[in-house]
Amino acid sequence: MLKLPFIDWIWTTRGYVVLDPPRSPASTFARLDPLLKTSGTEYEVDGNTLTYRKENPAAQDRLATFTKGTLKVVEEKGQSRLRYRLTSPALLLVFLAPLLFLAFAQATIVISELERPTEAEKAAAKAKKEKDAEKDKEPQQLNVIDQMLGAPAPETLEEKKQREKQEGEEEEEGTHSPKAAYVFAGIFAALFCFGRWLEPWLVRKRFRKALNQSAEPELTDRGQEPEAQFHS
Amino acid sequence: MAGVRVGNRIIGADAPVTVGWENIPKVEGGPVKRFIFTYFQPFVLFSLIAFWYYAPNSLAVATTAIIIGISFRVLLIGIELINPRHKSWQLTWKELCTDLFYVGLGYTVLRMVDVYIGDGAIIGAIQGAYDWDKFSWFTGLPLLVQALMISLIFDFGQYWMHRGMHNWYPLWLTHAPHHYITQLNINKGAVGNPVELFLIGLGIGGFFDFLPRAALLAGTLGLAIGTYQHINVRFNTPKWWRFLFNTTEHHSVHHSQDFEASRSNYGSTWIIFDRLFGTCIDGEAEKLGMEGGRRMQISETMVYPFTEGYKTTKEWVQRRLRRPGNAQTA
Repeated sequence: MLKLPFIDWIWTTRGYVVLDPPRSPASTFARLDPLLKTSGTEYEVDGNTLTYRKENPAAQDRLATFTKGTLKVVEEKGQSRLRYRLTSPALLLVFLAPLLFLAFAQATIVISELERPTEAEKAAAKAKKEKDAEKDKEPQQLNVIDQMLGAPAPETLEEKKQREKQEGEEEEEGTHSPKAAYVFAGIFAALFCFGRWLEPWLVRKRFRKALNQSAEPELTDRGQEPEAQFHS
Repeated sequence: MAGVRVGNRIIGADAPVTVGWENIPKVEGGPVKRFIFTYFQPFVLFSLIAFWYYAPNSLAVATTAIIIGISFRVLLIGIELINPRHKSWQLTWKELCTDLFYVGLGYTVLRMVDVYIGDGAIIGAIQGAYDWDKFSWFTGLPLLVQALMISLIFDFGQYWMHRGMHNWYPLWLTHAPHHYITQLNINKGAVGNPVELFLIGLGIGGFFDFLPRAALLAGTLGLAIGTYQHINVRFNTPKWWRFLFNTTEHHSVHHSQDFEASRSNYGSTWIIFDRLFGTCIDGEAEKLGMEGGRRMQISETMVYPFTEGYKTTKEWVQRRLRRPGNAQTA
């Protein structure tokens, strides 16, 4: 991933976990094995530094959001710490997703503009509609069973006319509405904000759990943390 | 793996599949929890039917249906998070974002395309060309009968389209990406190549004239039954429901990693067409997907039918050219 110091907060998380009790790099990384020995993960250890990369991780991979990372065991301020810097293409894509949906909204507006009928076409359509409306009959009564059960009768021609008048005013905006695209742009903006807070919090929690639990974590046959085991 | 014989087929030879309702686990927990997860589905279904049946005309409109639909899905996502059926299907932030991307495509791009080449446009063209009026006698039938007919007609079409997708290679190419999902969650129904999502949405309901209220009632059947196809929640679903309707159990078998099991349970809302045509397997599976559970990314999903189709065609042409007969002629 690119090194862009002012904006890399979008897809990067940095932090540290205090190693309590202090551990050697080898012992620390051994404890992280359950997070890293999963399908599609490559990692290498160089002294006190571990670098990993996940290629298309499984949905339940505990580090699925952060597919690249560097972990370093350091001594700082009298503490033994695991410092990490993790990057997430998923966070970047979700950050960009609102732009895509805004582009869809703009496309919708442009298409609607291109297809906007001319005055002559509008008049012709209105005349046809009025002609069709003359042929309209009052809706037939509800089936006797529905009448007995008390279902509301279908709308009369007058009610239909009024509703269509109201809807017609709303439809004036164009053939397609950009509303859905705007809503999804908003949803993805909210998802980014939520994910940017949630995912770093979860990853820190997982590191702490893996590193500072008193008992050695048990490896399952799928190479996952016990909490990620398959059971119903 | 030995598998289980169901009719002429061996189910579960490639990957684990639980066959038979008696082997499906029940909801565990206290009496309140068991009560809720036993009666939730029928309660919601009958409440929604009653609402649409009696709602005044001003409320019985598409906007209300959209609001109810979205609220119901949000509620179900909440239940999934609190009480997942399988922890291995737990909804994660990344999975939610991925699923919502496909949902977003459905509400924006696909909806726009549908205006021009969707079933509504095709049926309108046919009716215009032949001056063909709608079958208006339907409006005289009781509302619930109309609703059932809309739902059954649409589902019958979906059954055969879906079965076709599993049996005819060009259609399978469009449907295959959907089978790379490795877990079931509420929005997973939207995950797939847009060509498939367009094809599966085609229906012939537009040929018939229904009362708007009947269409809304039919929509509620899809919402209050069909939504459970892709849900990560365990229910003690009633026997009559499991006999009539498609459930998450049925659909998990359809998405199983077992090849033979995946060629069953093609229905959408109803499972009765599978029962009629001999493709129903009552059971459930937890290990889902293709290629041993490889998760397909969005970029691959978008191009899969075209890249895979190109690859297969190229191989076919090369095979033909390599035939011994051809070599001799050359």
